[in-house]
Amino acid sequence: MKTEKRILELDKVVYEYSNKYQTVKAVNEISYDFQKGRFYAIVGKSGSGKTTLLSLLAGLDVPKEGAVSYMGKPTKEMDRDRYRREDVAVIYQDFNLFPLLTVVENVMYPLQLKGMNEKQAMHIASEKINAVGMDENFYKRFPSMLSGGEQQRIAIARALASGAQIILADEPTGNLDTENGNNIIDILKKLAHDDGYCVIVVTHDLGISADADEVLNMRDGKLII
Amino acid sequence: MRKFIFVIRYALRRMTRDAIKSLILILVAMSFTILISEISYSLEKQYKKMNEAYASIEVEGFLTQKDGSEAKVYSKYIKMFDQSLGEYKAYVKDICLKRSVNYIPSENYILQDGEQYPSVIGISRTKADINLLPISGVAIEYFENYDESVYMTNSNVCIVSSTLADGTLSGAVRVDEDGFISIYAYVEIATRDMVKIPLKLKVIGTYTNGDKDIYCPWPVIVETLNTVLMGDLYSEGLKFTMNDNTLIDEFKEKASQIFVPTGYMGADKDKTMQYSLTLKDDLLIQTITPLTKNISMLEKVKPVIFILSAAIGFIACMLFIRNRKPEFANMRSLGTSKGLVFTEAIFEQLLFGITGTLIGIGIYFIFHGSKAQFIAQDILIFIACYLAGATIAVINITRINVMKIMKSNE
Repeated sequence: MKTEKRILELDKVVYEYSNKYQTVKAVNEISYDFQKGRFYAIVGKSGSGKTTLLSLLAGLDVPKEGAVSYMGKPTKEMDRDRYRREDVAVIYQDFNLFPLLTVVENVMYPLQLKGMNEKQAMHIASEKINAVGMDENFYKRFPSMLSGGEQQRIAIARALASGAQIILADEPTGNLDTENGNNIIDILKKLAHDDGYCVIVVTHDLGISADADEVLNMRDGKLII
Repeated sequence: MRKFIFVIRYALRRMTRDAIKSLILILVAMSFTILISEISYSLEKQYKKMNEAYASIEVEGFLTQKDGSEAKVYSKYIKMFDQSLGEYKAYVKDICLKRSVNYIPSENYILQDGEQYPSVIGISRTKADINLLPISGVAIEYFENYDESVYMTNSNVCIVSSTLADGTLSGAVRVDEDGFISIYAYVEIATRDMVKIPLKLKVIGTYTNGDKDIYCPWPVIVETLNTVLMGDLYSEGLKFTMNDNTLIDEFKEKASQIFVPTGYMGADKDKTMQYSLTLKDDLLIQTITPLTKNISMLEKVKPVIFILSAAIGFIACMLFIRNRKPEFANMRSLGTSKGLVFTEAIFEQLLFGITGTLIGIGIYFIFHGSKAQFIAQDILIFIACYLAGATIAVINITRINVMKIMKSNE
């Protein structure tokens, strides 16, 4: 049963940053399997390689050694633009909404990028916005008119709209107060447990790691389970 | 295609919502369009003035002796300039030839004490004789159906002074009832003997301020003299007008092969004869020189402006999109391909450039009204340069390392 749920695999993944003075192994021979319907927390100090690992999972780059595989296929061998468009969604600490698009346009973005017409995209976007507890009064607002918590909900709505099965979140509560942070984590947990998403959260927050199904502790680019 | 339309719509939305920045970029493109249009307009104006100067200023030339004095010009040189024969026919027009011959009003006429022989003068144009020019206070009136063109024909016609025509001039030949005058050309031949050659000429016009001198066509005098003179016939001078002033340097170059410069006193066997060719082109040069300088300066400024357009396109674009790296990184992380991100950014710049250019062209036309000329080529070069600069900036900015931008959050 465990094998069937496996969606993302890390196989001896190595990633290095180089400059003219030194080479740093940000991710050092990490192997791990992520499954659908589970909520993961990747924790560790600053510079431990958490965000680098998340970026590799998001297909923003490929490992120098080893492989990140989605449904058994290494990201190295796939169209990673399509992978990011359809299979994985990322939520950021600073929300990364398009400031000059309205709330609904932001959520429609990944749908229209896939070629969906405006009417359909609008329909799905409004469903997803409602799903994160916001109503149509927010549709025409710009991100700057929303609170941090509201912006992060919209970011989650956008991730859901993309249809991806994997949601990656990089410090999603980092810019939020405790109440809003807890709400966001509740939403993410619900997505994993009720809707079967694979949710992977990078965080400093020990509270979040306590809620996680599994905690991946990183130190100096290595995984300490 | 839908993705492409989507990013274009995204760009349009962005531009309208970020109106101030959009407006500034449009204004930059507009200002440069006006600048380049103005330069092109000035250049066109200078060229137009120069062409007008070339077309309207008459440059006269004439043959003289090496010392600048009036020269007798023999037939060989007349043929050299003659429009129907000569090697200079492409360069010159209105060739003025003149030959004066003494005449007497009747076969047995005897000159009174102190009386001078009057002349019958063959001319190819009235300009050939200074005494017929308006500058001498002379007005010529032709009878019906006659004009200046008659001087190039061999018609036995002439113009006489108005006092001779109305018979008030004492001792002068009379015009008969049919409008003719009969005279005798009085010519010294090779044997030093004087011969009298009868000439009957129809009076076709009059000139003011004259006395007994009669003007007939150049070929009539040539034919008359040919009946008694065997030698080479000469003209008392040779004047001409430049046919096309733009060819003046070419003509000078050709002429310098044969004629010596005025004032040249050395012996130069290669220069065939003793003639100098003088062109009165001072006015043309005075007019053309400043125009040429202006044109040269503007022609030099134009490429500088084009290069500047590229630089401005680059800088303006760079300034306005350099802080959009996170936005582009966000687009990339959502799965927008590099090509689409580039398309979005370059489309914005294209639209700014073209909108600014169109407004600039509009202002240029409003400012200059009907005198404005549409200088399409320069505008297209400007847009190309501006967009080239903007494209470099867009390539530079959209080549983002998404991972690096994300890493900065860690």
